[in-house]
Amino acid sequence: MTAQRPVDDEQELSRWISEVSEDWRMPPLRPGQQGWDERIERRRLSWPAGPRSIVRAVGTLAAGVVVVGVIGALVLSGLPAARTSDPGRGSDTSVDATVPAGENRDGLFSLRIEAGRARYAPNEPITILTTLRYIGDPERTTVTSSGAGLVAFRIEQLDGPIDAGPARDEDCVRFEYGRGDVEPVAFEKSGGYSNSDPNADFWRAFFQEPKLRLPAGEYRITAEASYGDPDCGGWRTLDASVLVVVE
Amino acid sequence: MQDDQRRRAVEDAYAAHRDDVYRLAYAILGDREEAGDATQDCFARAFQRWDRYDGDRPLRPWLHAIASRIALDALRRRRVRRLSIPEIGRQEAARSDGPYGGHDPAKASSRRESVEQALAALRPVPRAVVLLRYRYGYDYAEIGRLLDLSANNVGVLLTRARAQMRERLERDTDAPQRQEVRG
Repeated sequence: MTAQRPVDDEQELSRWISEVSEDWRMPPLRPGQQGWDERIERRRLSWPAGPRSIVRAVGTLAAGVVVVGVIGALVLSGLPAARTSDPGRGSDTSVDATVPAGENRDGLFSLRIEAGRARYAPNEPITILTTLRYIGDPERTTVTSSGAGLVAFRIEQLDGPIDAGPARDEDCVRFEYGRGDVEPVAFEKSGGYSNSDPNADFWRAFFQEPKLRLPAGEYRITAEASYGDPDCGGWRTLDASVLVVVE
Repeated sequence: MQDDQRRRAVEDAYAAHRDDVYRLAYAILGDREEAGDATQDCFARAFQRWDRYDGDRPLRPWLHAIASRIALDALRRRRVRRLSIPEIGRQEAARSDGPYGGHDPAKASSRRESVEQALAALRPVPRAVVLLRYRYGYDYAEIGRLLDLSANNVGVLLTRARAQMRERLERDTDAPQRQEVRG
């Protein structure tokens, strides 16, 4: 006599998968959750291009995780770049005595990130300057992305556990760019943590602090642009990083 | 089609297929609230694209195609990069009230619980492949189109997923039965 597991028999597996998934049913809308029809209205409000070339709308935050976005320093470009990468995959990063910078580009955008300095003291505010430049051939183009903008930031400690972001809404807001558009992007912390995380106290303090202050360590700070076609598909990402040492 | 006609059509689609859409989103995201949001987004997008729907073809695959894109995008852009889905799935699958289990604990059999946990232990895309294949009966090519995979990849993922589920189920089964299967 042979006792078969469900996975040994396709019909049996189908039966079990169907039974297990039968209870996966769309729950009633929770308080504050928008239904599909309200989401249409929200998009209608946020899609039309206004007098500016870039349409922005802030989307709702998904529940279930603690997400904190804090606008940090916003400074228009002006610092000299230490190095600029060639176009292509990956991002050029550098750590030197002057100004670390990284730049990357694809067919539509050039993304550049700079840090104010290569080295900082522990908990000293770190300045991050980022610009997104439209370099596409069409005079105007439309992409979709998070309502908070195309660019979000990731902070990775290369010699330790810190790794935060990027975090985005996913509301597929349309953005129009025209030839010559240069968008300064405010540095913003994003990410989440669980209260049961052993480092929850650190994360709470980290997200409550509007400026980027870090403990001693070596960090890669990445600006990541994520965008899709006008129908919210065909997602692409473009990133550029800088390395910063806190000592 | 006028907006009000389109709205009625999507309302009908929502009534008929919201659970089908939710299941796929849930398989990918492993989180009820996120899956619920993805489901609502799916029907909002269906409304916007309704003119592209070919009424001569089944509606569910069309909705599944939209839902898979939304859920995969959500997965990729998930806020909490530090907490991967498999970790969340494992943590919550271990609890009776977690995802994939415990919707109705009183009715749950031990085998069913084992299958639920084996399913929960899969990574998001293989879990979606298993659902699409064994609940909805899509063939490999159809699943590939839904999840942006080649048909070959779908076959590989299914084989691995079944092996992983088998291993998990064998761990949950007593030794004599395991010997019978392998003998």
